[in-house]
Amino acid sequence: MNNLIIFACMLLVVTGAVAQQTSWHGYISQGVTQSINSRFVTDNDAITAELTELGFNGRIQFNASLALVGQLVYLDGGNRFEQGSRLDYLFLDWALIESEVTSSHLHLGRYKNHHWLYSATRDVPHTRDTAILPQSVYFDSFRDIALGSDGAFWQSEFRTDTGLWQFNWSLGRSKVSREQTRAFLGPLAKGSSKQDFVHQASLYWQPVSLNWRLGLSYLASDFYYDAAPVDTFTDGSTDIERFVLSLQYFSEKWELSAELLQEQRDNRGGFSPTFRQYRTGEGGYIQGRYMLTPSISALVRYDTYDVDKNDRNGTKLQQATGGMIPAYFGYMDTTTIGFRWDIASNWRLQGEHHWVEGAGRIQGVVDPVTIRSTEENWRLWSIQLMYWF
Amino acid sequence: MAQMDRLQIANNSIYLCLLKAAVFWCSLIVSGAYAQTLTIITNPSVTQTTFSQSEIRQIFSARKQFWEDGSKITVFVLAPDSLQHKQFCQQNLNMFPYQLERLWNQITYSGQGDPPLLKNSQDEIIKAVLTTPGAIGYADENVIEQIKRKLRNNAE
Repeated sequence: MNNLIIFACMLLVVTGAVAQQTSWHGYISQGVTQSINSRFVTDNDAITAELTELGFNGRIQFNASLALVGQLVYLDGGNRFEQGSRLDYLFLDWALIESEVTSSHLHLGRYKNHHWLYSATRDVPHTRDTAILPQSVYFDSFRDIALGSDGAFWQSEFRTDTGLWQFNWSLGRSKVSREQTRAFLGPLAKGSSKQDFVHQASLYWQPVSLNWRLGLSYLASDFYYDAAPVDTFTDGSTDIERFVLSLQYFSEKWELSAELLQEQRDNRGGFSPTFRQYRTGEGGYIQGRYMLTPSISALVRYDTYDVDKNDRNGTKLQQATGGMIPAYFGYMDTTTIGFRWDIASNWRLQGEHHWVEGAGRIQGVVDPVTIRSTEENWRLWSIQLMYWF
Repeated sequence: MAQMDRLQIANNSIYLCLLKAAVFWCSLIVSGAYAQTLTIITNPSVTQTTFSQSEIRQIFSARKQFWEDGSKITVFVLAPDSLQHKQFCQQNLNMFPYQLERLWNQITYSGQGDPPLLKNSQDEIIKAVLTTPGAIGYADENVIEQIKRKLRNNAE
């Protein structure tokens, strides 16, 4: 990964010399956080500063239709994802069509995922309504894989009498690091994971009034796990299909966001060479934000996720594992309140508190350590100060 | 003296532009809540003389970053919490300022372009637009009229 970051820096500097125009932006954010009765963010109910986000992005414009863009990020999110630097995106942005009624862009390289409401900017603190996004759709164990992939992304917009239509398509693959494998499968996983491909398409519509935004997206992806010679897991694979229905409503004083998700998984191997499991997870969230003043707003959200729609309270999971995995690992319901205060231009203070019942989105595959450290009811809070330019 | 010369040239540009081609497109809907009529202004280097509402939305939401001749568009706006910006967003873009800011953030932080530049007053917007090649902004007709009157008086 470090070699890739060095390569990206060199590429941006070298190409910057022949550019028609360059522009640079970035953000820095630091917070304090605590997860209580869970190791979701911090260990042993500790209050820590494991909420650091630094980002620096550049756009090197060669001419009106071609640009090279990239972003380097440093993240510390406690146990939510791997601590350290990463290259979030680095792609050629090619404007293929630009007219009054339509525009189309092709991104080649490490592109960003534009298919869900917050997927394109989930890495940018001041674009998120909360530090922790609703885990039903924005599962943090999958953060790096879901943010973007190496491949091609296409976006077309059509401005018609029926409103604004946006079509997105992408095909790529993400490298799955050892840490990400362990974040998803647990610390007992000694082997390596690979994403074969991820294929996504989405369609969004806004009426002429622009106060609504409706979208539907589809994802198909295959993952493989190559077990280590000495490993708790065996070789295995997972095929995923995901449908997301997205909705936003904008009013002068308040806005509403909601996404509904269905995720179909076909798991083969992993626990034993003959293991086979079909599972459909369902969930979604609804979120309201009220603008008390132009600079202060309050937020309330309810997020729910059931690991298996045929086992919504997790009793079958508990029975199937002989009581080893508690039933509450079969679901996760979260109620969140938050506030935002824009202290000054480009400065923001944001806080939130989450009350969680269940642990269905703590980790992909549950390990004994997680079971011992996660209670049925747990909480999480954070306060974050951010600056961007 | 050189500075004065440049200032004079700039003022001439302002005068010419405002007289010749400043009012390219303007909001015809003035609701009771807003007493001002905002007008689109561009730098004299911009050859386009008419804009549809769709184009204005594309430009001010940072989706459109280049003019037809390939030159860069630089957009100037007032602070998002100003009354004039709110009026401009609602009447001309069909958006609330926070919607527009979200689009700017999406475009800026997913590498798709640059956001508009913020100015503290309409006078500053007019000066910035008219001294920046490829620039576009908005201002109240009365403010533009005052500047034109001042320039005429200076010329006399």
